[in-house]
Amino acid sequence: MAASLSLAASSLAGFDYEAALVRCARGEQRALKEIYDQEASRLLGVALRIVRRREVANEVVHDAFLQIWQKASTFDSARGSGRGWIYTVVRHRALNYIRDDTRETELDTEAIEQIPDTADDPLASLERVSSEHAIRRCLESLDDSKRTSVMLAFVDGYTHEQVAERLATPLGTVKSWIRRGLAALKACLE
Amino acid sequence: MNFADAEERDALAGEYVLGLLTRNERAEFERELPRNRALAIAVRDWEERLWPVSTVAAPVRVSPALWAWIERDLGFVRAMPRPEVEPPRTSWWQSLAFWRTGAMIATAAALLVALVPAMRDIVAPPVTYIAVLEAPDRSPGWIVQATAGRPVRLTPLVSDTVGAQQSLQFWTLIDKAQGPVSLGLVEPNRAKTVPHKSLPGLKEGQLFEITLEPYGGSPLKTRPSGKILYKGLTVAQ
Repeated sequence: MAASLSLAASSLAGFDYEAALVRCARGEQRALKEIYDQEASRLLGVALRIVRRREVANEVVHDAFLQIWQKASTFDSARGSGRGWIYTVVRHRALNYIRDDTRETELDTEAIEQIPDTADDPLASLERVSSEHAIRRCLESLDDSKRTSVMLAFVDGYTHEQVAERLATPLGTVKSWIRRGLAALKACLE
Repeated sequence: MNFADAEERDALAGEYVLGLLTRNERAEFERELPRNRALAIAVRDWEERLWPVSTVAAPVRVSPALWAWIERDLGFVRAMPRPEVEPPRTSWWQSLAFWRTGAMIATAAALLVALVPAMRDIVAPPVTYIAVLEAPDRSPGWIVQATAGRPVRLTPLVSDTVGAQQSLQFWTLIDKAQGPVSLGLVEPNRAKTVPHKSLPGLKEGQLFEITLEPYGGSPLKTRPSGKILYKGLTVAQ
């Protein structure tokens, strides 16, 4: 299993996301399947962390791939990476799902306990982020409270209130940690 | 919201990308976005800075049904013809033995073979069962996704046409002695959610199916009266 994962990671370097999106925009169905084969299990993982229900995560990835296909022509490689664009589409759909009050909402405390969040060990979980991304080093350089708050919001889809509850910290403090954390990240990346 | 001040605008864009704005703030932000170029650039910059953080999420095994679902909805696969109408023979659950053997076992086995070596030990969410409901010609028609204690989701892969005097009805059978349980009527080409309490239980190899019934559902109440359009057995995901 470890072997198959490292294999997947090493093949990342060779995959040209921008070219695949351009081919999708031209209507090449095979290009979408290549993106899917390359990223589906990771994107399902991203969605599951946010929506916390397997069947909903499937629906998020399904909807995201429809959108990637339909919107591929709007992707502009001058403005950002193809892989980033794909992850953004998935996160956006997952967030829309959990923030949409009109959906049936279940009490999900049970599920939240089943999937550990980043507060358990944010530094360890950062090890999965490739060191080629400067954001990893920048997050590692933040103090624990800012790093954990930012990651609970971004990775686990927590609201300010949920982060405050998770960290047993007043809401105003958490809001300020996140604002200062974002400012520090921006400075670190510039 | 103050979009004029550059520092505040950038902070709001960061909070928006993190998903932290409240419902009302988000609505206001998204109204401003298409007409405020500086704001749109700030959002894009935050997305580009932050997306690699998503990769801390552990990968999750993908069901083979997921790509089939995407491909169908994009029209990559030609829609299968509707099954030919056959008169119902004996009661459907009496013929269950027939369905359980042969074709259905082959489908379940193929899915299992694909799933077993996968990444079971990375994340352990509650077990989800999937049943691909197939027409008699074996073409997939609907997908059932069910997790213990959660609503069951039924999603169409094909577009059915139903006469004005007809309804589609969704059923499950977990135990022959207990007989079939109706899970309600289904609108053609529309996903449906059924509360988990409506299920008699949930296990591997459980039968789900959709029958064609007179308008309003089976007059027999406790079992289908019409022909089976789609059926399938659950496989643990």
